[in-house]
Amino acid sequence: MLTDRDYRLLTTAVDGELSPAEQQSFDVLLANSVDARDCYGRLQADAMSLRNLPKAQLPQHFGTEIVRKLSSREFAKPSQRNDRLARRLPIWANAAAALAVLFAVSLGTYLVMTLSDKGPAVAKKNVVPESPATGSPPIPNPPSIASNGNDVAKKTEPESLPLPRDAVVEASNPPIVEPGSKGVLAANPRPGVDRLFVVELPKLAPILAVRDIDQNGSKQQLLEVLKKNEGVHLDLFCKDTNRAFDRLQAAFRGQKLLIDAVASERLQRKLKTHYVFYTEALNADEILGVLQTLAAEERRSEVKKENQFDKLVANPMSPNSLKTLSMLLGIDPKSLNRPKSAAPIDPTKPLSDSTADSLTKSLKGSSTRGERLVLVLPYNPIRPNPLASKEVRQFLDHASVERRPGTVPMLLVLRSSD
Amino acid sequence: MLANDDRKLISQCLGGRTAAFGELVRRYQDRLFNTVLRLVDNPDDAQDVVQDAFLSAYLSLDTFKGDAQFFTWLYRIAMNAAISQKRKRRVMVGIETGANGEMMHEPIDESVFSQPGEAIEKQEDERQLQEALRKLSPDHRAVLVLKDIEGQKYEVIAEIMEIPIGTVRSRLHRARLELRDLIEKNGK
Repeated sequence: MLTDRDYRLLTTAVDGELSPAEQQSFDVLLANSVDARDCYGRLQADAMSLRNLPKAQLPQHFGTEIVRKLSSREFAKPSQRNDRLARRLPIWANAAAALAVLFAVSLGTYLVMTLSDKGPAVAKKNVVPESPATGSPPIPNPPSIASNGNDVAKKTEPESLPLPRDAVVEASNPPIVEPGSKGVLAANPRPGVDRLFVVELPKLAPILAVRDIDQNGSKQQLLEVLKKNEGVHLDLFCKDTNRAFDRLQAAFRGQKLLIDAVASERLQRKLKTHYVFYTEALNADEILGVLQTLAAEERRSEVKKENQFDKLVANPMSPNSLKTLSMLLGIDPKSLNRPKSAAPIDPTKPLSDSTADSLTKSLKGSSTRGERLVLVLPYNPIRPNPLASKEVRQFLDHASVERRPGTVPMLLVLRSSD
Repeated sequence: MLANDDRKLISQCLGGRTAAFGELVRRYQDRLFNTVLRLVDNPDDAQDVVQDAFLSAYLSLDTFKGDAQFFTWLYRIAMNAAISQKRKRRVMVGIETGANGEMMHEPIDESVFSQPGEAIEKQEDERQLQEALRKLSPDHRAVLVLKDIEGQKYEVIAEIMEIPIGTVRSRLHRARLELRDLIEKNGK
């Protein structure tokens, strides 16, 4: 039986870092213990195997690529940065800059507050005629503010807001106040201030309830994503991926599903798995058709309280999607970016051998020729070596030969909501 | 301490000759890539880590004191990046394991049977070893890779990982026993 000290000696020996004293103890240990010899042999073999793992190489152009990046403007030379550090501003300059910012903020706040206090009255004076019956004295305009909201905007814009022209809303149409309404304040509480900016919201991916996909609004949103992009990444959330899988499989009727052996096994064993459906064989309308079938089925199952699907998130195929795809398929995503249209044909040019081979291959017909293939793989856990999958290879063989014009690559991930 | 060639290239680089850094990259890129690859598993991630390491090294080249080997310093940058990436991705362990933590089993690939027996056996051993390596913690993996693949001494590993030599030694001890244990479990 080996002690902890023995094990330490053995591992240090494998490291090749025994001190002379330890070396002596180690020799004694090996001479007297079969277990120690056995263990040392195994540890030594592990270290050797690690050393002999196959070596990988970076592409030849890697170094050149780094140099190219370094030459770009974002990377200043270390020497230049040294110069810059040497020219660091003194403390008083930093303090002055901070004070200037503070002053600008205070001034801005003061102006905003002034406008909000005086604005309604100013606007009221211009829009609603002064009633002689009120007898109240007219409110004088502050000298720094022009006589209407329009002028306020015009005056403010060039001086304090150096915004591009198209970012500024022309304040040429002051709010129309109907006589007897609650007044300008309710209609536009801060005239000349809050309408100066137009904030463009980033375009978000549509998140659609699966049951409503065949309704007009959702359908349009989905079609827009499908038609405006060269590929889509759909995330389909469900309660139970194993049950939802059957429904999705049924919705893909008319297409041939190539279900990877591992995915198939996990389905049979009902293991918690996210699945990915990838196809390049459907156009936007056909993809929509599949999802509409799913929506109709979902509504039907709601009656029996057997609904499965939750939301669908539709995103354009992003570089990250392509990276995921390359992990799933085991090939470089660049090779997936095949041009949609073929190069112009020169009728005078003789056929190359490879073209003739492809033609022969396609005429002989593989088992999947003309079929619309949908590859199904486990998404989580992912296969460590996708190209070991017969189905992946079959899909790639097929995809490399033919692709109908107008088709949209679709990566659909079936995920459980929890 | 610093190899003369490296010193020359570094000073040229500090003098503004970017191409000199390119030479340093070419000198160490494959070695670094192989080490990082064993830490992050995925070749794309490994390439990203190596690239980031070189770019970071370039940006802080003026802080390099030259009292250590350039590659030790470079490795420190790369190893930190690789380990922190690995830690971030630990949540993704599920990617390679099933719901019950079981490893993904490759379906039998018919083409393997066309290979000679020895090659199959070797391939299987490599697969088991890599699988076991993947299950080690990033810190244990790092010391093993630096020791066995890179062939570094305790002192250098300690310098790269910025830990005491005693810690290197005990981490290696635990890592070796854990690796053996995992290989035996996988083999059963």
